[in-house]
Amino acid sequence: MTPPGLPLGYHRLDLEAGGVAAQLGLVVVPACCHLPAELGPGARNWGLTGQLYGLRSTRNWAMGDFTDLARLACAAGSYAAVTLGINPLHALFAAEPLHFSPYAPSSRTQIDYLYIDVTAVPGFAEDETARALIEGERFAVTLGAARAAGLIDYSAVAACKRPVLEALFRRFQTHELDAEGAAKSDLGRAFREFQRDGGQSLVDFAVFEALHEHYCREGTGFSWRDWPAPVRNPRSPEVAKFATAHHDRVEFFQYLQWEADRQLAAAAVAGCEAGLSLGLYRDFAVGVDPDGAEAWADQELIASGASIGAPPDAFNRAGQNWGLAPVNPMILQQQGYAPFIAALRANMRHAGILRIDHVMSLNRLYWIPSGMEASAGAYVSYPFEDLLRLVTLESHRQACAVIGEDLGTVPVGLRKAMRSAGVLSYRVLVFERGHDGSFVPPAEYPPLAAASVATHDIATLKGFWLGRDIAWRRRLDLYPDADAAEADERERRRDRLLLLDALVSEGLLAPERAGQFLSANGDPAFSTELRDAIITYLARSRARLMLVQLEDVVAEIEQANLPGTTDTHPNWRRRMSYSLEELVSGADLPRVAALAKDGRLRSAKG
Amino acid sequence: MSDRAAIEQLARIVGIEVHYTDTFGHSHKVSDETLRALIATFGLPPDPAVARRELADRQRRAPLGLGPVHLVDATGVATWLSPA
Repeated sequence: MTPPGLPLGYHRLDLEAGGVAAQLGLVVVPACCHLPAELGPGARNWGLTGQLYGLRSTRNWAMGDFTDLARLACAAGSYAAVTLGINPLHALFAAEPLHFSPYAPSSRTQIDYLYIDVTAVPGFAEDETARALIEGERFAVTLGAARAAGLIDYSAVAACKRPVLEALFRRFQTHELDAEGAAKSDLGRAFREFQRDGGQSLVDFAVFEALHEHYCREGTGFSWRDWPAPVRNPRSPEVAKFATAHHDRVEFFQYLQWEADRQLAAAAVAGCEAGLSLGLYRDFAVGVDPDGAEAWADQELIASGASIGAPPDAFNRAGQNWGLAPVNPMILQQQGYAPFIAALRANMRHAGILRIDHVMSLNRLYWIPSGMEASAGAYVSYPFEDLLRLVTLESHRQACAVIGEDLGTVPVGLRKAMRSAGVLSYRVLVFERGHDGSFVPPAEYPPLAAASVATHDIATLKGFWLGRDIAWRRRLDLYPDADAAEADERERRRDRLLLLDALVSEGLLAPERAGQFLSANGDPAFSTELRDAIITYLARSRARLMLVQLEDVVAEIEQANLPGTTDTHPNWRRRMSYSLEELVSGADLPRVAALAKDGRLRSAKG
Repeated sequence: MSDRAAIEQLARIVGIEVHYTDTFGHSHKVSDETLRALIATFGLPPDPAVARRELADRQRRAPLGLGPVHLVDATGVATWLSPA
């Protein structure tokens, strides 16, 4: 039995038997994740989701930032949404802004500095160097072009933000630290405290950033595997020497983390004060880039010689190689799961909900040996029970509910285990079908679920209706043959009819109105009337949380990411067609919020 | 033991599934080449018999044969202490 009275959490047990002493970690876990009343039995709430980088505003620097996040969180809160979901904020590569997929980060425990609103950094208004930079011609030209572009120009955003942040860091050193580097103000003390809390993992990240910048500039290449042998090892004397010699630069990267964390916290607080009762929902990517900071810092943990992906399925017939580094489950266990626990904590910070992308990864991952086809991989098992229990414990400790993204091939028993652990299942309208393909009626959605109209990886509502995803796949030659494309088109024609049937049978669309969304020649037509009916349909589901993407609020046609493409398609670069100011003051958001609220009130009980 | 049987046995020990069923319901046998390549990523020698001995040694070296961390339910029985 568990020693009586042992509280939840991490304990150390000293054992002795037969003259042998051993120490082991004893982790006492709750049966279930943290589930606030907003997600408890009978709850029917709604949340807004969006891609933070894609927000356009008159004040941001050509990419969504934490001030936009605060404003959007406040708007969502004012419309009685309980949460605002965003893409992973994981740190990408400061030295190479062209690696911009939020799902292929350098580090999952750190935040990407490009989300910092430079104008909200303490000292910005008073700093003359910063002002001179933003009043200069170079800045005006670069920012002007980036703001006018339809896609995010990450290099231009970095070129605008980085020099100003460097100036503000120099100001910070002068004003908040003394000549020896000791804090001489509250801000200085807060920074030193953040560094202490960040510990070795923050140091490793910052040293990596400084090294990466150094070797990218020297032309050694993007991957740390191409660095000189001594600095490939994070614990080598050469790395320590580099860190000492570049102390200010290393500290600059820690300063960026501190400021990003401070601004994220401020956005979360602003949202909560405006009525967003669960605050932000953050997203946790399934792995890290093998060339990034985490892979460099713990080379034993990351298995080299393989990457993770998915076997062939209906959407990707050749299988998928995500290019992410797999964690060696044996080493993870040997390390007492410390890296997993740290990553969970980092992502539950300032959040009321954490969405674990590809939650099947707690159970198994599909590994593809380097140099082999994506179809030639195999599944590797992970200690599922332990990992799920650590999720419940950290959820409890951080008061952060958990959604598990369980789309795709789901191993038998996984959903049941999630349910008993209080993890919300992630259900997407177009995937929720009966055996005959019909759309699952709202009353048959599971209660312990987050039901979403669409996701970043599939067509938006309008894109689905108009077959935009199929058109892109055709144009980019992603189909193995013409038959496959035609099969998709046939299926989509049928799906439109099935969805109209579902809306009619729920009484959300008069039968005689249905035809207007399918013109005589078979070309579909989309309108806000159809959007409204679909949102109401999902709002009436039994799922305790219903989610609407910002893209679907304003009927965007393009999806954030087209799986199966990387550089042939502008994934993770799309900017919203409407500015944040237009979104907040326009008619769409209040309309969708009213439909969501009303639909939730009329939703099936149970 | 045949070569295939020896590789499969080792693969199972480290947690590699030697067959899987895809989303269409088709069963796939993972190739020897894939299994060998993945076993190598675990830092194990290519000869399955040698690799098994190495894993057994690692297990023996653990103090009292216990792993580094054990999880117990606050409400339930500590399964790691209960008799097998």
